[in-house]
Order: sequence, then structure tokens, then C-alpha cells
Amino acid sequence: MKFSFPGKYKFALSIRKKLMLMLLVLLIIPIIGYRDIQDMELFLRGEQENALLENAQVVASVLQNETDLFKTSLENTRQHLFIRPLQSEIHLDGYADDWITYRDRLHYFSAPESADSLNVKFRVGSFKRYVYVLLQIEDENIVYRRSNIDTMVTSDHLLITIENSEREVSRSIISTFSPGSVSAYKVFQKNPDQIEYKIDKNIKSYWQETSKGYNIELRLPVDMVGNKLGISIVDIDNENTREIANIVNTSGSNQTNELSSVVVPKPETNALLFSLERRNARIWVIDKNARVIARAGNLVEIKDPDSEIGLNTDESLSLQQFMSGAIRLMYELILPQPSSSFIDDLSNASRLTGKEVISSLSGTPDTQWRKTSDNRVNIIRATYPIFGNNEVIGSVAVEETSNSILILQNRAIEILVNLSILAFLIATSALLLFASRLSLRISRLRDNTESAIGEDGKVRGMIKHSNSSDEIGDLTRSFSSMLDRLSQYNNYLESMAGKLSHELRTPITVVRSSLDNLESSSMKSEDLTYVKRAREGIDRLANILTRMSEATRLEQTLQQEEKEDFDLVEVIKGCVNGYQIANESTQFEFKTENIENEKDLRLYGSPDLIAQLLDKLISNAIDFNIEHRPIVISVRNNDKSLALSVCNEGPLLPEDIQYNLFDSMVTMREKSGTDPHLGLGLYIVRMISDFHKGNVSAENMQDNKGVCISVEFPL
Amino acid sequence: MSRCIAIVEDEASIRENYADAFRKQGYDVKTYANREEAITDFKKQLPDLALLDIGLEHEIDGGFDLCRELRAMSSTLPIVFLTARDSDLDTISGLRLGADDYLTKDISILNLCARMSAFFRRLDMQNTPSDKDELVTRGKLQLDMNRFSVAWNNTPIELTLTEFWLIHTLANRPGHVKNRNQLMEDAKIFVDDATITSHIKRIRNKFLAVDKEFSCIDTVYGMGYRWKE
Repeated sequence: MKFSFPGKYKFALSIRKKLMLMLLVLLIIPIIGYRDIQDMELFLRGEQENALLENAQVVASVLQNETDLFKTSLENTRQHLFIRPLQSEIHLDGYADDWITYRDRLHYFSAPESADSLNVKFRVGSFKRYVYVLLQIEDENIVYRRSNIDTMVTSDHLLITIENSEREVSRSIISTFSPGSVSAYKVFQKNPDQIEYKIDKNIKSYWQETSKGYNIELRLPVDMVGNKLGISIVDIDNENTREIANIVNTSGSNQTNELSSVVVPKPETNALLFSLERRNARIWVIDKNARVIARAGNLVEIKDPDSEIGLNTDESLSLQQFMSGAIRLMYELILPQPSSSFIDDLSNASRLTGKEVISSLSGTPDTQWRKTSDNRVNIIRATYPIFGNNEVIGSVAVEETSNSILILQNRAIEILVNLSILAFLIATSALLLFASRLSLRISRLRDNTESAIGEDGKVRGMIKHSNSSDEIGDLTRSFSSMLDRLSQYNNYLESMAGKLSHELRTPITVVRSSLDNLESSSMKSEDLTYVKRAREGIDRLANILTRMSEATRLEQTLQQEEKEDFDLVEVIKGCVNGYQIANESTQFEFKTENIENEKDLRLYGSPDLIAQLLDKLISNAIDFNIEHRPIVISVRNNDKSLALSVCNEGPLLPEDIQYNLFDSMVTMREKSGTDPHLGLGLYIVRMISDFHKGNVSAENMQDNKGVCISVEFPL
Repeated sequence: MSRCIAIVEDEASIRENYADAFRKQGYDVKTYANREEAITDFKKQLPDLALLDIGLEHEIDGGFDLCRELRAMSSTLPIVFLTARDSDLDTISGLRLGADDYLTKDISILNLCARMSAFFRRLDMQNTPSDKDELVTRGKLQLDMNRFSVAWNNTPIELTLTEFWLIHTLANRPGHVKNRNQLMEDAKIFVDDATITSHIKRIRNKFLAVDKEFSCIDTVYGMGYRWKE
């Protein structure tokens, strides 16, 4: 039997596991870190707001000197047209190919209250000295001029109205007999009845029929376009009556005389703004009606598409590259990434709205965050008023995406996650190492403690003193000293019988010698009876003492005993014969098992001691034997050991005594007989067995009729 | 002239009990409680027999020292240990120091007296040449019943009185198994079985020292010993 705690293996949580659980405390690091990053985001946003505001202020103070910019558009109009530059020259051919990249500049106009639809798509842009216009008109019925019969205005035509900076209004008309390059005619109204047309060479146009209607491409010199512009599309559907069916004006109305204010950014202004531009920021300059006067910069960097190709040329990725790539991919999946593709709501705006715009136009700088309509990017706009003559003449708006913050934030999260993982790994391995060492030491101590005390409760060995100064070392030391004391106490107990008998011998001698003397003197016969009784008593006492000291004496004998080769079976046979003679009332049976040649089974030890051992076993068996039942003595050859067992029928072993039956002063006798029983007999058996490196055991017979005590000697 | 027995024993009751018993037998008895007293007196006058306890008052092995000193003073003086210490080690030590016998206090006064007289008889016979020897011969073994001396193959073997009596009991009836109780009775001692075993072992060793082939004392396990010729 192993002495083990019943729950030793049931505790699912070893120290190691508990310490590992404690590691969860480290989760605080990423949690705190994440909170910190959130704080950092707020801070960064604030910083960005301030930076943008400053930027806006700088731009505003620069522009304050450029009051010319704001002069042009003092008058408010319903529609404002901010003409953005084009990247390349437009080839006037009536096709929309050149305009494909300017899809975001589309303006839609339609005539709402008519049965025949008139839809117009309007795009405008400037390149170098010219303003280009593309009108895509959906018209089911194109009506051209008939030669020489009609006036200019009795066919589908365009009416271009321009108000220059001197507020002079001029009109030009484009009307044609057939598609193709069309000349514009300037309209001079000398009096209400007489209208004169003159070819206007400044305006070039091209009329092209399409599946749905027709396109007109226009080119006007920038100088020509003043403060206001209105292009009216006059639709005539009936070939015969030639009545005007619909009018659509680019100023949003269907009146030909309504104009929208126009701004064509001047190259000087652009250059100025360009010098003030922030990277990945967009600067707007608006007048006091929030109309865009100038614009510079882009929210996202326009990437060179070639730059990305180079990355994938190396087909074979190294493991490190693969790993870092995988980690990057993981982060990109988890973390929101700065997006460069989002819907820019203001790409075509000619007028800015928002509370920060209103606020700056009333003189207070402001900032505002907004989300793009596709929710992919946050955009911040800082506005700063521009003053002229002590009043607000306009405002500067600087816009930026939150991408830079997002990049910083992601970077911080990545660092945080990496550091957390690293800390976790380091802490885990350190704790694991520590815990392993700890549990190793504890289990070693447990094993030592377990093996220090044998199955029988005897101290077998000592625990090595630990030099370690911690609690486990302390525990080891106290176990060690505990075992020391226990073993001293055990020794004391074992030697007590011997010591006691030695101490008692002197007073017994006193009594006995006195009795001897008394007997030899002349005494009355009745006195002699008492002397005889006293002698009986003292003899019994002496007998007890002799038995008590037997174990002690045996111990001394064992120290000096020389071992010899002898035939175990022969010794036991002899002994059994002797017992039969000495105890006539009891029957002894001797049998051997698995023994063919007795001579080969020689034991190395002391035959006298074996005889003494058998004496004790037999005397024990006789004491417990049921009368008239034989005591069976058997020797069995177990190949590598010889088992000697003595079996008797009688009371079974009590459960609680089984393991220390062979200890000093342990007896299972319930009632005391005439002979003293000190429980030393089987202790002597064990001592002799130990001397022969044998193993004693006591067990109930298989049929539970009695008890077998066996000693197994190794051969 | 009566024989003088010196008793060195620190326990007064035992000392006086023995003294009384010896006096009744007609011996002169001198008693000492410790080694110093005894040795001072012995230097003046040696007793005819010394009965020593081993532990004397504060001296644990005082008896052994006394024995050594006495043996130095006289080689013939019978010295007998009478002690409560019954270990083999003490027995061997005592006998090595030249004691003639080593007795434990279990011995009865009657047996003790028998021994004393046996010692004195041996002394007497050693002093006077034997005219009528009482010899017992068993093969190579020769027992002198007066001098309590043993010879094997004509080589004398030094045996204590106890050992002599044991040999005598065994050899008296060869082939007859003597159990331990019979042996104790004949040797006038009262000891446990193991002590008999060690006595027999010692006797065997003494014979073996003279004759390596010696195997006359046969152990009959479970019963006792017998003399095998």
C-alpha cells in the first residue's frame, strides 16, 4: 500500500495550473493599453483639429491680402459654379470620352413640368486658357435649323449668357443646320425688335448626335467667362410650329436670363494655395456666401499605380517574410484600415455647407468631424474666417481624413499586442519554469516523506536536509527534524522493553535473593507457602523480563552473527519434528511446494536464527490454533525466493493491526493467558527476516478459516 | 581456614543477601560497594574468590576495570561476574578480561553457592596433585570432573564452569538430545534460549580453534543439542 492522499490525483489544479491561471492577471496590460490608445485617439484628434485650425489660420492670413479674390462674387446667386481645372486638353468632338475621368463633375438638370422630357448632363472644366463644357442632352426629337428659312431661335439651340466683371451681360447663341462643328453667334439687341447676330470666334463648339439625343462640347476663353454664367438649352420639339417646348438653364432655373456665379481659379491663386498645402489635406477658399472660390490639395495621395507592382516580383517568399506577411494580414483583418478609396461627397461641390462653415463666416473659427457617406473615413474640417475691411469676406476650410490617426492608432495597437504577447510569453515561461521547479521540489519532498516512513509506519530513512532558505526548504527541514524525532521515539519504544527489563532486573534480584535466603532459614511451614507464592510471582515477572529483553538481545546478536550457507528445508524439517515431540496435543504438517532437489535450495544466513524465527511463528500459531486442527508449515520455491509460511486455523487478523503486527509491543491477543504476551514474538520474526533480507507478511487464508504468516527469503 | 569471598556490588540489598547466604555456607565474606574501596582492600589482601558486578555506582564498566586489575594481581584467583547485564557483548568482554565465569542475576542463590563450591573444589584440586582422578572420556574428549578441565585430543581447552557443565551434560549421554531447559538445569544457570545458543556457539568455537574438523556438538533444530561421536 502506498500512503497517498486520497485526493492527490483528483486535484485538477496543480500549482503549475494555478500559477498559469494567475497569468490571466497579465490581461490587464492590453486592457489598460487599449484604454490608453483610446485616450490617445482623443488626444490625437484634438491635436489634429488644432493643427488644421492653425493651418487654416495661416492660409486665411495669407489670403487676407488677396482681397481681389473675393471681389468677384459679392452678389449672391442661387447657383454657383466652381470650375475645376482639367488634367488635359479636351478634343472638341462631341463625344464624352475625354470626360470619363471627370465623372464626379456631373450636374443634372431637367425640365420638370413637361411631358416631353429634357434631361441635361452638364460637365465643366478649365484647361490653360480655356473653359470646356460638355452638355449631354437627352432629347427624343432633335430639331435643326432649316436653311435660310428660320431664325436662330426656331430650332434646338444653346443660349450662353455671360456677365463679365464689369457687370456687362453678353449672349451668344449656338444653333445649327446639322451636327458637326458649330459656330456661335453673339447676340446684339439694338432695340426690342431688331436682333443682330455676329459670329463669335471666341466660342468653339461641336454638335454630335447620340442615341438618346445630342451632345454639345463647348470651349470658351477663360477671360471671357466673367462673374456669372448661364447656359440655357432651348428645346423645340415640333418641326412645324417650332414652339419652345422646354428650357433648361445651368443655373438651375428654366429662365434663360438667370445666371449662376462662376469662379475659375486663377493660376496665381492655385500657386499660392499650393505653397500652403498640407500633405493629404484639402484647402477650400469660400466667399461669404460659402461659395467655393479656390481649392487645392487632395484628401488622399494619388498613388502611382506602377509603384505597387514591384512587390510581387519575388515569387519565393522566405518564411520570415511569410510570417510577417501573415501577421500583417491578420492585423489588417482585425483592425480598421485607413481607406484611400471612399466616396468624396465634395468632389464636385461648388458651395460648402455645415455648421463650421456658417460659424467661420460669422467670424468664429471652428472644426467639425464628419463621416463620408459610405462610412469608411472620418473627415475633419477646420474653418477660419478671412477678414477684409473689418468684415468677413470669406473663409478658409482645411480638410483632412482621420487616416493619419488611424495609422498611428493601429501602429500603437500592433505594438501593444506584440508587447502583450511578448510579456505573456516571457511571464508564462518564467512562471512555468518556476512552477515546475516548485512542484518538482514539492513532489520530491512528498516522495521523500512517503518513502521515509514505510508501510508499517516505521521510519525507514531520513529526508536529506535542504540548504534552500525558502519555505519549501524550511518545510523539508521541519519534515527532516520531525522524522528525526519520530525515529528517536521509535528507537526509544523499541528499546524500551530491553531497558525496562534491565532496570527491573535489580529489584527482582533483591526479592529473589531475599526469598532464597528466607527459604534456607528455618521457617514455619505456613510461612513457606507464602514464600513459595512470592517466588512464583517473582519467577513470572522474571520470565516476562526475559521475553522483553529477548528482542534487545537479538538485536545485539544480529550485529555479530556470521552468515553461513545452510539447507533451509532441513532446518525446518528438524524444527517441525522437535515441535511435534514438544507439543503432543497439536498436529504439525510440513509440506514443500515446487522443490525437487532440496540440496540446491541453500539459504545464506543463520540456521539458529531461522529456528528461532520458526519457534516464534509456531508458538504464535499454537496460541491461536483451534484445537485438533493441524498447523501447516510449508516451504515454497518461487524461483528467486523461498517462502516459508505457517498457517493455523483460528481467528482472523483484525483489519487495523495488519500493518504493524510485526512491530514491537503489538499484539492481537484479546484475552491474556497465563503466559505473558508482549507482542514481541512477531517483532522478533521481522527482525530475523530483515536480517535475511526477507519479507514478512500476514494474511487471512483464502477460505477465511485462519491466518497465514509468511516469510519470503530471497535466494 | 574458611574461604574468603569478596562481593563487589553497589546494590546493598543484593550484596547483603548474597553475603548472608555465603556466610551461612561458612564462607568469609567481604563486601564492597565500589571499585575504589575494593581495590584498596584487595591490595592489602586478596580474597579467594571475587564476585563482581559490572556497573558500580558511577562507573558503568567499573567491574571490568576491577577484573583487569585483579587478574593482573593474580592469575589464578577465580573471578566471577554476577550482573544484570546479559548481552553477548558484555559476556564476551567479561570473559576476555580473564573472568572465570559470567553469570546473570537470574541465577538462584542455591545455584550460585553450588558454583562457588565448584570453584573452590577446582582450586583445591589444582593445588594438590590428583591421586584419584575422576575422568570421563568420549572419544577424543576428556573431562576431568574434579578440576573441571577439558581436553580435546589431549589438548586442554579453557572453558568456563558453565561451559564445562554444558559439555558434560551433552557428552555424558552421547546421541541423546538435550533440550535447552535440561541444559540450563545442568549448567546451574537460568537464562533464555538465545543465551544457551550463544554458549554452545562459544564452546564450538573453542573446540574448532583446536580442531578444525570438530563437529561433535550437533544442533537438532527445534529440540536442542546432542553429542555426536
